[in-house]
Order: sequence, then structure tokens, then C-alpha cells
Amino acid sequence: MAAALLLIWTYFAVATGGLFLSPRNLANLTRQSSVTAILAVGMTLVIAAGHIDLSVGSLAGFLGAALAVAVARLGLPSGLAAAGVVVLGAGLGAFHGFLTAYQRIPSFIVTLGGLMAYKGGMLALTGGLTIPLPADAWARSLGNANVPPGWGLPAPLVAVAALAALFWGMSVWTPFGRRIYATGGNEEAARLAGVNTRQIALAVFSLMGAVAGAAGLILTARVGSASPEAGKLLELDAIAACVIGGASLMGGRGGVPGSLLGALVMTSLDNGMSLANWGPFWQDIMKGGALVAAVWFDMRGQTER
Amino acid sequence: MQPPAVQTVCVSKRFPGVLALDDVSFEARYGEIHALCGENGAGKSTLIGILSGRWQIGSYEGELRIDGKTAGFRNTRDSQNAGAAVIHQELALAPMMSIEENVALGREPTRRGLLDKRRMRSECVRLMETLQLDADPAQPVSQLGVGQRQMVEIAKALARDAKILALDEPTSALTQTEKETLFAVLQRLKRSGTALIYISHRLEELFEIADRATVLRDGQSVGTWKMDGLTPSFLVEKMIGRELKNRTHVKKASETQPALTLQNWSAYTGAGRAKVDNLSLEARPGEILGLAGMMGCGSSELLLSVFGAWRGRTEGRIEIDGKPARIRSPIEAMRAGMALLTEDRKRDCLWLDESIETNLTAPILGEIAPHGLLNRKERRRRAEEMARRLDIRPPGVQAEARSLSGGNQQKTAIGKALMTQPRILLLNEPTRGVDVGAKAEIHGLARRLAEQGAAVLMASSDMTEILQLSDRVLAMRNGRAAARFDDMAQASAEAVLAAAVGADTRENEP
Repeated sequence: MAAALLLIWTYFAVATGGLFLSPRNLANLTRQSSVTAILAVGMTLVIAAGHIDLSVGSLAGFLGAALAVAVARLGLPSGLAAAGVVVLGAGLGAFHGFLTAYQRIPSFIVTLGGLMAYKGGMLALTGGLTIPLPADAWARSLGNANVPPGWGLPAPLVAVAALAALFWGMSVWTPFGRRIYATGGNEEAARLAGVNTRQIALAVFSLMGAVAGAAGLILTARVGSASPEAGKLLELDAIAACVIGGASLMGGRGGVPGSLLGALVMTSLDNGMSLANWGPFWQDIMKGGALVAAVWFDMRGQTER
Repeated sequence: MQPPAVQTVCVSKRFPGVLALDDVSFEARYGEIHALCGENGAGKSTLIGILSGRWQIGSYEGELRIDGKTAGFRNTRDSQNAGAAVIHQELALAPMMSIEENVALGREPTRRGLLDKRRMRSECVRLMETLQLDADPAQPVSQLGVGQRQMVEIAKALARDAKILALDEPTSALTQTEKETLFAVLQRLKRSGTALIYISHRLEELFEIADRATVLRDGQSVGTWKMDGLTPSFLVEKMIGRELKNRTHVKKASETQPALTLQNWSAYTGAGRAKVDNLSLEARPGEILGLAGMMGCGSSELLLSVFGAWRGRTEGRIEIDGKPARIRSPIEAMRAGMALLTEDRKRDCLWLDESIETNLTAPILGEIAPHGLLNRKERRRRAEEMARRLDIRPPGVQAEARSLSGGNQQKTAIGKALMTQPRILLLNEPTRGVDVGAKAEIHGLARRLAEQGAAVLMASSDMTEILQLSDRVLAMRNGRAAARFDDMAQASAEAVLAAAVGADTRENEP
């Protein structure tokens, strides 16, 4: 996968006469990929546990709108609103998990319902209008800030890196993480090995919801406003990133680093093609092709094993 | 004389490491019901697999003849076209489709390219009348009982003009009335000239319905006899073959406190059928209690339900070390000192894509993460220690479970169970599908564990294993205790098997 990314980068570096690899564009690239990457990090755990979450794009949009409403209309401090949005996301995620694990509604259905419902919720919050954050709001500066201030790295990149490191460490180094993979790999075996598989599903969906809150924060911060269309179809980008990164929708396989690479591949295609002046339609076609090709490559590897 | 409907001539079929069929010659004629008997793993299913096209021509040696002519099936369709149909234990119907659609599936009558519903209906009704299946042809199969579904399967076979019908354990899920209906239908099919091959563990059924019987043992055909004049004990003897020597062991004074006691234990399916029916037992530290029974006898369900892993309702009393206990989940069972080895290691026990290490340490992840973080060194150490103890090969614990032989996969599954240092060990078919060497090792291990003070419950359909290993035996049939052998001197393979298949006239218990 890293090789594929290198190939894509080399191609666009040549096609754009080096523009693609300019520091400015790279900073841009990481900003663009941050939301997909954050969602992909959370989605990795959901998919590893053998589930799917179709609601995250619309949930991130909804939570981003909630943040804007809280700050712009209710005058809450940005920090408090951001924390509230993450907690609300975790709560909604827990509800998905409850319906899936304890009420046995397939996660595909639960979260498809969520996708529709949060879209409606977003419309209700925004009234169909774009809600700008106040110019002095901390949340507004976050999208384009650098860390440490005035110097180094784009803040969204730092946020992605921190979250990814946390989730990756958790998935590899803690019993909880290994139990997620055990549950997704063979649920019955996990259950008989003393894993509370329902608790695992509940926890994974809660985390996904919290992650959607963080994604919503960045989504709103980057643009400086919440639009009623924000987050649309991001869930599919996140799922595609995981799959390109080696996750199996059957569960039990995939990892945070792979999903990050997957997100980067998708954004690189987007970014590179627009820099190289390909028609916008090519972006979708190429991304779709990349997804199918990645899985094809993976399957071929498996049958030859 | 008319050639036999089905004939195998010197058929051998080899799986990796196992000779499943060894030079088997067998024939079934039109107008007869031919019973195929043998212990689990004797080769019955493999033989039927050659008839059904599951094992394609070229994958076995020898010759299959239909109506005296050489036939070689590449797939199920070939087999069906030649007039053969196999009805398996797990019925192969599309549950959401109606009876008539299932019966017509794959050969739907059409008129000008469209479904001819009227003809589909009339053909289905005609077959249902033959089989005396009283239901609405438009009814979805999922609404039917097991017995009726079986009839739909038979109707499906007849709709394909099957002249040769093989039934694999057809009565295992049927009620008495359903069974009688089935037998009446089979008799009628027989009179109309169909050749029927009937596989069942239940000997009394064979005497009720079969004309001839062929016994398989260890992949070889022992012989074919007319049922008239045979006795159940004769068949049992042929199925087991040699006289088995019991393991010589010193019987300990079994006055110790039982580690596990069950009183009037029952486990029900979601539909309310009792899979374990009012069973009581005691398992003491230091002994191996053998649960002998054929497939479907309820021993798997017994072990699952004791381990808190049964999804249906349970009833009765369970005591650990003499104290009443409530085991509602595998987690609680493990806390109470139990460990379970499931019957199907690939499905319920192992992560085939993961390493031996990951598999072995799955139950103890919490133990080896002192501050919430996994201690990888400790994990590696524990895994390597267990792999060495059980001599899992290859010795590296990084190997994927999928790459291991059946015996080493089984050892990995056992190792995983032993990780929590259980005092009550529930083993289900501990040596199914493993080679002779691994089998001996696993037996040795079970014995050592018992000697070290574990109470071992071992469910097995392999009578040799039961007799060699057990200190006491409980024979199970239909979820009940069919017989108890507390003194192994009294437990011959014949007596245990006879109880398990229901061939003994004197039942120890109701």
C-alpha cells in the first residue's frame, strides 16, 4: 500500500511539475485528509470488531453543526462546546452499540437509520443555512492554526496523529484492543474464551461516536462555519480508506496505520487530480477504481497463500 | 438379473493423512432400503459424497456404477441428472421461498420464457399428495416443521426424477409421529422401485425399515447382511470390530467431593425442544467421566450449557465443589474454574488467520496486562510455555493457526483451554480429525490432567476413546442418560455403544 502511495505521489509530482510536493500543498493535503483520516481511525475498530458504521459522516456533520450553534447562537465557550460535542457523539455511538449488541439489530441497519436521522437533525439545527463561527472563537482558529503556534505543523494533522497514536496503541497493546479483533475474527470463539462480545461492540461504537465528534469539530473549524451539507458521504470515504488499508469487512483484520495510509491515498488522488487539472468527475472514478483495485490485490494475495 | 442401482467397486478415497475409504465395494438395488452403518468417521458420509458428486471423479480411486454402467460425477448436477439425490441432515432449502418454489428450484417450468406458475403448482400438488404432505404449496418453507421440510426435500428429489435416494440421519430431528410418516413414505417409494440408502445411528430404526445393511469400519466395508435374522448386538459387534481391551487403571476411592454436580439438568432450544433432558451427573477431581453418545445425543449441548454458553433456556441445579452455582456466561464459568474445548475447533475455537500465540493467550489477556497494557514478553513466554508443554509443532508460536495440521490445531485449542488452569475440564470430541500420534498425546495429556486433580468430562462418539480413557462412563441418547457404567469392568464397547444407539433392551434408566 505504501508503494501504491509512493507511485501516486511520484506521478502527481511529475504531472504538476513539483507543485504537488510543495510544502504548501502538503500542508493542504494533510488538512484535507484530516477529517477522513480521523473517521477512518475510528472506523478501523468498528470494522475490526465485525461491524460497520454508516452514520459517521452525517453524525460528524450534525455534531459540527451543534458546535456552531452552541458557540454562535448560545454563546458557549468553544472549549466547552467541543467537549460537549465529543460526549454527545459518544452517547449517540453508545446508543448504536446498544441497539446492535443488545437488541441484535444489524449495525448496517442501525447506522443507516442514523445516517438519515442525523441528516434531518442537522437540517433542524441549521435551518438549512450556513452558520458561521464568530471571528474570535477559538474553534475557528483551530482549523488553520499551526502547532506550536507560528511554527510547525497544521493543527488538524497534530490532532489526527495524536488520535491515531492513541487508537493504534490501544488496538495493539491493550487487552481491550486485542479483544476487538478477537470478536471480529471469530465471535463465537471470543465468547467462549470469556470475552464479553456485546460490551466490546458497545465500546467500539461509543468510541466511533466520540471520534465523529472530533471530526465534526475539525470539519466546522476548517471552514469556519457549519453548512447543512457538511460531512455528506464521508462515511463512505472512511470505510474505503479502511478497506484500502487492508481491513476486511468480515471483521478481525485491518489496522490503524493501514487506514491512515488509505485515507492519504484517497485524498492524494483528490488533491493531485485537481492540481493536475483533471476533470472533477475523474476524482470519483479514480477513487472508486482504487478501492476495488486494492481489494482485488488483497484477494489475489490471499488465494495464492 | 437387473444390475444394481448403485454400485461402488473397490473405491478408495484419501484425505490428507487419512484413508477415509479403503477399497469399499457396496451396492444398493432398486426396490430396497439399504442401511449403511458404522461409527462416526467410519466412512459413511464420504461414500455418500461420491454418489452425490461432492467428491468428484478423479479425486478417488475405484469405480462408481449406476445401473451397471460406469459413472463419474463432477458435481451435484451430474449426480442429479443420473437420478441420484442425497438428503443431508442440514436441509438445503431456501427458507423464505414457498414449498412449490423450492420443489421446482433450478428446473422451473416455463411458458414462452415466463414462469408457468400453474404447472409449477400442479406438479407440486401431485408430489405432495404422493408424500401425503398436508400444507399449502404457497407457504414459505420456514413456517414448516422439520418433518415437513424433510418431505419437501424428498418432493424436490422426486421432482428431479430421482431413482436413487440417500438419506443421512433423516430422523435425528423428527418426532415419533413425523418419523412414522417418513417411514411410510419410504416404504411406498421402495415399493414403487426407488433404491433407498439409509444412514442412521439408531439401530432400532434400521430393524424397522431396512432390508439389508452394510457395515463400514475405519473406511473398510465389513460386510453386507440381510436384516432378517440379524440382532442389534451382531451389528454393534461388526461396527466395533475387534474386542476392545479396557484400560487397566486403579479405581480411586471416589469419596472425594465432586467438583461438578448436575441435578435434573435440561437445556432447551429456542423452540422449546429439550436437547439435554433431565440429566444428573457428578464429576470428581482426579477422574475422567466419559460421555458416550452418537452425533445429536445431547452431549455437546450439555457441555455448552454447563459452560454458560448455551443460548437457549436451561433448567436444573449445578454445584461447584458442592456449593450451588449460577453460571450465566462463559466468563462466569471460567471464573468458577471451568474450561471448554468445543467440538468444532475451526468454527468455535480458533482464529485461523492469527498466530498460535494469539490463539493461546486469548483467554488470559486481562491477566497479562498488569497496568492495562499488554506485557508482550509475558504473553510470548506464556504461549511458548504452553506450546512446549503440548509439543505443538512447528515450535514457533508465530505460525498462523491455519498452517498447522489438524492435530496441532487441536493441541492449540486444548492449550487455549488450559491457559486458565481449569479445575473442571469439559472436552468435546478431543481427538476428532487428528492423526493417531496426536491422539495418543492428547489422551496422555487428559490422563495427566486428571491425575493432577482436574475433573475431566469428555464427550466422544469414539467408543475406543471412551473405553481407553474413562474412569466412569455415562452413555447418552436423545439428551438423556441411557446408561451408566461406574465399574469399567462392566463397560464393554458393545454395551456402551448399544446404550448409545438404543439397541439394548434393558435400559438402566427411563
